[in-house]
Amino acid sequence: MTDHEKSEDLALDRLRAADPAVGSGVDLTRLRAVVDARIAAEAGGDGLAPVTDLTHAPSRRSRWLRVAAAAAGAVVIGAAGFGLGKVTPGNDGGRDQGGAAVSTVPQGEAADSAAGSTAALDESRMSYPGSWSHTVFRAVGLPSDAGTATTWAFDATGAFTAERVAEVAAALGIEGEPALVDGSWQVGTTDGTGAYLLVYPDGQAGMNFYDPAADPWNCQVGDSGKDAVECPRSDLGTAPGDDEARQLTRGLLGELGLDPDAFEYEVSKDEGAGWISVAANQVLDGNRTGTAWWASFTGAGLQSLSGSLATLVELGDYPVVGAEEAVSRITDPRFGTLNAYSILAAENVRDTAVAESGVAEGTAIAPVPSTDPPVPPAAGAAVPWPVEDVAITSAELGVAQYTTPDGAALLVPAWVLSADDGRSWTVLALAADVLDMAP
Amino acid sequence: MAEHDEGWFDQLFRAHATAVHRYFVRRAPSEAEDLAAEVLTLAWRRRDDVPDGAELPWLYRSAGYVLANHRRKKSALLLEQLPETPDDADPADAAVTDDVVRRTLAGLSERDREILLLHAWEGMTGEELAAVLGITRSGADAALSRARSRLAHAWAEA
Repeated sequence: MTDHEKSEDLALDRLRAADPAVGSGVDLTRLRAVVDARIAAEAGGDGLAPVTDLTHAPSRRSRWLRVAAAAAGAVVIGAAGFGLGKVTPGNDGGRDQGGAAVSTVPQGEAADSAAGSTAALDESRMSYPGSWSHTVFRAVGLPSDAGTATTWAFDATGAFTAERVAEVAAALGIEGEPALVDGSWQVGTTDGTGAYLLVYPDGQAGMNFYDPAADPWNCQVGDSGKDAVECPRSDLGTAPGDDEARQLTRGLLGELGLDPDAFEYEVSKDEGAGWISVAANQVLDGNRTGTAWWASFTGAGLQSLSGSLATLVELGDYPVVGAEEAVSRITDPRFGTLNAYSILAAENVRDTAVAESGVAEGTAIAPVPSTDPPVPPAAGAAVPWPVEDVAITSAELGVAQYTTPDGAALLVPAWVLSADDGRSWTVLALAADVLDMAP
Repeated sequence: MAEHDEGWFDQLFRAHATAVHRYFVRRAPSEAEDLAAEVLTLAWRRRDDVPDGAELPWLYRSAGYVLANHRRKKSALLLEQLPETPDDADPADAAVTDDVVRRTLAGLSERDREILLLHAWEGMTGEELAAVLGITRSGADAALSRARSRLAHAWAEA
């Protein structure tokens, strides 16, 4: 923590003190029971229960199967997989017959299934690679021909050198020799007395520049920091306007050796606080790569700048699959979807809710909770197992960021597959023969 | 990678279930147990994806998705009943009893709020924060630094 951040610390400390979880407890035993019941309920459904040899060693049965068998109304289903093998009603039959016992689906899960697409959609975005349940995808009117597309890598090695860091520091007007501190390059001091530059050893050679003299919130708090409730904002004059800020940003990128025309600029500002920010979004062949530079200005000049110093290197023209095959990759366990989603995009969530509530006329949105328990299906009736059918009607070939296991950052060709309601899924487009799938 | 079996899950639960529950106590207090259970169930279902040595950031990241999905279902419900879009108030505001802090949080964008709460309440910084947010370390540092400075502004205005 640097001294110049003390003014922010006051607000942060108060925020910490307002933590609603202070003093809260949790009944771990009950929580564990809820978790166990849900895992057991899923165990028979998609075969993800721990593999256990039930015919020969009942004592080694997984705890979830024990939980499930003990639940009232257990239905026994053949161990070969859901829906296959013998179905025998009730009690303890399963233990001796080597079947996987499945308890009735808890209410929470039933509501999820009723909402169908929403549960399946978000789950696929939760981890990388995503995988899907309760959903089938069809390609409708998509081109099937394969082709080639360029794959890129971010080369951080050329940027993470003393020479390059010194160049950047000079362009930003910081004095001093670059030094390696905790694995990152640093020019200037981080104690609030002057501007500094940091360059990180990550796959994109990220850099961060900060100048406290241009920060209206950089007040020096006295020794008795706790007494200083007021941190008056210094008046640094008027921040540059939109166009000027854009021009300044273009100029900065040029001085760093980048091509200002390779970016799309977006301005955001806070007139009251006297600062203006410009996001320079990197563009490649007309598509945004997801990488951006951020520059913030106040009346006193450049307050902060961050971005990637790594240069893009072409790995070559690689074969890619056609859009039709890409659709089948969404549910292929080797691929799934590339995560183009982040919790930071929570505002997107509301938009898709509007789209989906409009589209899903036949699908019930999660029912209004009532106080009566749900009515079970009639004996012999089919078990509701809604499967959503998504028609992919448009496909666009672009690039997506992908980080390899050892941290190298790549831009890989990716298909963005969309349905008519605007939902989209991003899938790796590279053909299998250029992938090293060794685990 | 050692097998992520039941023993692994037992350890994960013992080490992190409370933290996951607290995440939801802070943001969706009345459904905290239910949502925490969903995340832990997900950790079992996706056990092969949970990185060794970085389990907690993975859990918080999943918790973020579970929370967003939960809120979306709630707002979809509201859309059924009310034609206007739901207001932007963060449900977490209800959990915070400090009025000044609540007003301060209301003055921030949703993304700034989430970064600051992960930092102030879950104690995430650096690599861990980057892992939770799904961005690079430098991106996380920059985003946190911007959020902190906007917090200071909103604090003065509150």
